Amino acid sequence: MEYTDRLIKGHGKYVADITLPEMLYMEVARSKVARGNIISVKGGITASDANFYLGSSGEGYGEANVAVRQPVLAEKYVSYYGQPVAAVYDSNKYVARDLVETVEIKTEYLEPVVTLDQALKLPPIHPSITSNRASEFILGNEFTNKGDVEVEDELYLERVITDPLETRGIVSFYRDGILNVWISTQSVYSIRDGLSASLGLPRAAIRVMQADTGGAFGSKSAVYPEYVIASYISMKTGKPVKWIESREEHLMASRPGRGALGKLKLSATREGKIVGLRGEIVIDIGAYGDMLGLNSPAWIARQLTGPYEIANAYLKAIALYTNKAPLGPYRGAGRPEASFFTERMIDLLADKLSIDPAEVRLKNATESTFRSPLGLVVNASKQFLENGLRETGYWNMGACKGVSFFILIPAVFGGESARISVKDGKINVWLGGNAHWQRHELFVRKIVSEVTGVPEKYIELNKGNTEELEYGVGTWGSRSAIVAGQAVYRAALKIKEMAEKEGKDIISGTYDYSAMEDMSLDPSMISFLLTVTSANLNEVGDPIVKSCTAFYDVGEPLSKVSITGQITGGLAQAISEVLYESQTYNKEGKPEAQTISEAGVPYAQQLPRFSVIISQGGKSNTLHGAKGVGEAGTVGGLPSIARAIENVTGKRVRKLPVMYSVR
Amino acid sequence: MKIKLNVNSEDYTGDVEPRLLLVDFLRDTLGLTGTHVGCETGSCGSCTVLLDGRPVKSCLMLAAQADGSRIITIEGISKGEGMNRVQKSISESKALQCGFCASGIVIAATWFLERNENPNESDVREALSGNICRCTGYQPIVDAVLNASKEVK
Amino acid sequence: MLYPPQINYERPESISEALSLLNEHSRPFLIAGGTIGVLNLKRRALSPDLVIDIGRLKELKGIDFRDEKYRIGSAVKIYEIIDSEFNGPGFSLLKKAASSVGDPLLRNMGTVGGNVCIGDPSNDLPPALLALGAELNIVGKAGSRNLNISSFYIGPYRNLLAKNEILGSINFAEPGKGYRWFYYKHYIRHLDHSVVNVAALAKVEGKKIDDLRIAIGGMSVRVPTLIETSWIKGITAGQEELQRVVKLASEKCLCLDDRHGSAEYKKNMIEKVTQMAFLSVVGGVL
Repeated sequence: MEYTDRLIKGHGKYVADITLPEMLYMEVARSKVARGNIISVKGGITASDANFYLGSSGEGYGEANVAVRQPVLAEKYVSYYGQPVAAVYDSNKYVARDLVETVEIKTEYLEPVVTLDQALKLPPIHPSITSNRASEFILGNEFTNKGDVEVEDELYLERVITDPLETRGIVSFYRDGILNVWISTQSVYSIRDGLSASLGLPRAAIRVMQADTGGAFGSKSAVYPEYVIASYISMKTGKPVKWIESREEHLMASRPGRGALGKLKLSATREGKIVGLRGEIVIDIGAYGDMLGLNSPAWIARQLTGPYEIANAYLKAIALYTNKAPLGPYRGAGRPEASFFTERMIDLLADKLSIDPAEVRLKNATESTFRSPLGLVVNASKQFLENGLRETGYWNMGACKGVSFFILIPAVFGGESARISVKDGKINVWLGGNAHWQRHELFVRKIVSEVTGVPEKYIELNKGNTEELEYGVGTWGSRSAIVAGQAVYRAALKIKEMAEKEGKDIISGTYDYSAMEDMSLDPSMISFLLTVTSANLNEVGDPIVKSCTAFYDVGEPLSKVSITGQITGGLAQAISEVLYESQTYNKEGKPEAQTISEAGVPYAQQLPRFSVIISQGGKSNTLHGAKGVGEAGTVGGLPSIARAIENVTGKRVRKLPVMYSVR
Repeated sequence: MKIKLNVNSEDYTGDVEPRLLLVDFLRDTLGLTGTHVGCETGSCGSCTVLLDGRPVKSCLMLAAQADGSRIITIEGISKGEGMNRVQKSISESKALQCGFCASGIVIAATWFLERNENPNESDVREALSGNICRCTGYQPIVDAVLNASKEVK
Repeated sequence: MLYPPQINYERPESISEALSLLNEHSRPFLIAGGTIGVLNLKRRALSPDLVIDIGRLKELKGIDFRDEKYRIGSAVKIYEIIDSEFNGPGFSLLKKAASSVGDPLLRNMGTVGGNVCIGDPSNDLPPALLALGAELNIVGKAGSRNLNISSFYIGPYRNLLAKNEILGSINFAEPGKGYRWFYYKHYIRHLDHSVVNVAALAKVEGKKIDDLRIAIGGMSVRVPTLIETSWIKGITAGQEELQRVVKLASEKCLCLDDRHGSAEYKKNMIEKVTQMAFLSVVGGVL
């Protein structure tokens, strides 16, 4: 059955829907303080029974942070509210929940490090380090050109919970020397490799099968403590163990995104030509950082010149430890932060010079391929910007509008794999990047059908499975169409070649081929995103978004319906993130939003209609010509919406979400 | 305690723990896993079912409270093997992404269309204001429901 | 995941049976719709020795109109208010407040009594019922008593319903012809607590105000509160009167900085919605 039809008939098979004989249900007892020394833990499985550390994490970064290793169950001290301390299980899930209530955790209070200022001033939160500076980078070179004018500002994006509608979940079953895992994930490979490193099991002894995955947005890319402990309990008991995250747990202890501070200074000529960018990016990575978290400040800083020709740049980028849940990637993962920082500064410059913000952007857009002082290579962007401003009707809009123009860099790093198997008149496809139904099957069918000539109805995309396809990377960072698309293209070419050699019709033969496609970033793969927003005030004078138009470059559009849906989803996220969506922490480091509504996930009646114009700004140098889409709407949308809000309220937007900045 | 329910036109009599939530009764006892648990606090509507003809959030009800009621879940929303007009419209426009919200949205929208002949966009958005979709920004789903409203029942 | 603790559950057949159960238990817990009650059980915020489901009690059902007075049973569902055919200005105010409760699905579950008794300052019905001067009929083992809703709330989530009492019905007179009504709810995040709700009713004779009632709720106030407006009777309202009402409303501001806004923001919002309410119900006399 078509997957959409399966899901709308209620026939999906999500992790929570998997029931195995003799299944045990796990619940996790968590720290109720953000920081403290553990005096005693009574009840459940504790670190003294299961002494494991998280081995590695997701999004293409295989290595673990060796300076501060994250224990699967807190050992001597707790470092964030909601940190797993003990685990209980029972064959009845209600009883498991009763049991977790009986676990007694006694801690000695330690003053938590909650804010970035505290992180810089207070002693380190872990004994193994000498300061809360988890990583530090310098990008670009010092320069002296100060231009005619300088603008300076401090910008902040609050933490945001990923909140996929399906929370995290796992079923682990250790049987006959093999750990079988069914999981809601973006990458069966991250999970397999992470569990292998954490538990000390060989990769070959772990089979990971992706269940239908009800959204992920970054939070399902990595291995988490609960997955390790559920697997441990299965190994101990020989029974299948299920753990489903509660929303409450998700809000306190999954990996949120953002928490990014930018202190920036732009130097420019009187005419608005930017001559230099200076500043500092500071990221709140929470209590533990994997390589993704540690590298995130540099990744954000590197993008800051965006689609502009900025000859000089000098940036410091730091990650800081705080007593909060470890940071993870979220919708755009570093791209919306960069876009927000740069674009907010350009608006500030435009205001200072009394030039239309679009004119300032036109003045700085690249006219030929440009290598930035931060090491980023972008193609000419000016023509695209000119077209976009015209097509979106920007010039004819009223005063309460915002425009932003930025880049989307797909995470092609690590390449991707694909397998095509032709058998019994059917073509089965597996991707290394696991679809959680961003409509990967549409581009897979299109590519395979176009290459092989076999009609789309015979082609099926399967869920992630380490048995069917041994190596792969994952779905994140706007990479699937571009990298997985290329891998499946390559595999399809190979299958076609095999059939031609035999002189056979493809569909009547039996062929199997797995391709591992390596890829490195090429400027042709970088998309340009132009977003135009208009805003209003509602009856009580609060800002609302009236319209939002995206003019985005996707290269060769593989599936317009999925591209449009991805973009409207990203724009919706951008609106709520600018206006009201966030997770905040009180002085004690306790997360304040305790329901999905309190975290500010938007509803249908709070959003405007979006217009999406798919621009064909040139194909990428890939076999299929596509570029990334992923979270283009969030990356492109944030600064444009922020500007429109700023114009309608008359208050500079420095901090997201705006509805908190009223504090 | 003993409860008696009619679910998707089938009678069920059985013993349940008083604390059992209606959603777990449907999912675990009856195996109707199309009804999902998303937020547990009545915010997201993934657990929506029809109770005596009206959509409710089954994660905020005890099975005991539903004793004697008629329930329709996503598995029973369209008669027979086919799809109802909301399902067909979503299927045709491929308006879904992850699909976790789909059961609840289909039920809420189906009920809404039965009571509203010619809804406009803002009516549809209001009708879905108890259901969260995190993927699509709602627009494709709202459009699919509007399209369904134009179809004859 | 959130599951309720082990509970005992009873669904009594009559109020008197329900009252007996209440009196026989040390930690009884009443539920009707369950939207908040079941949630609190799931969160294990309480451990009752008996959950008493009064959601189906016939005596608590029905919306009646007799002698210019409405009687609304406490177990009436929120949607029943909205679907009701009554359309006087007073009832219309209540309808609007009811249609602002949660979302369509929650309105199919929650009851009027629940919305009144939970005492969440941001609930929708209390400000409307305050403006309507509703009397609460409260039943206990010894009989029933009437209490005006204006003296019902003693703090956030606290009211004067005794442990062994049940809210039987909510009663109010239809203010009738010539009254204008207004209801508005302001929230930042949908299904989160509202920042401020306002309900208003007024009758203007000629240019003079005959009656004006404004009540506010929401996270900006401690409890749903009626603004003192009796002084305005007989006055031709102008800017000065408007400003005085707005000031009286803003004095009710709890004014704490939290996720629903800064103290300043909340005060500002109270002022804005009060002004909107005043202008809407008093109309073009300014």
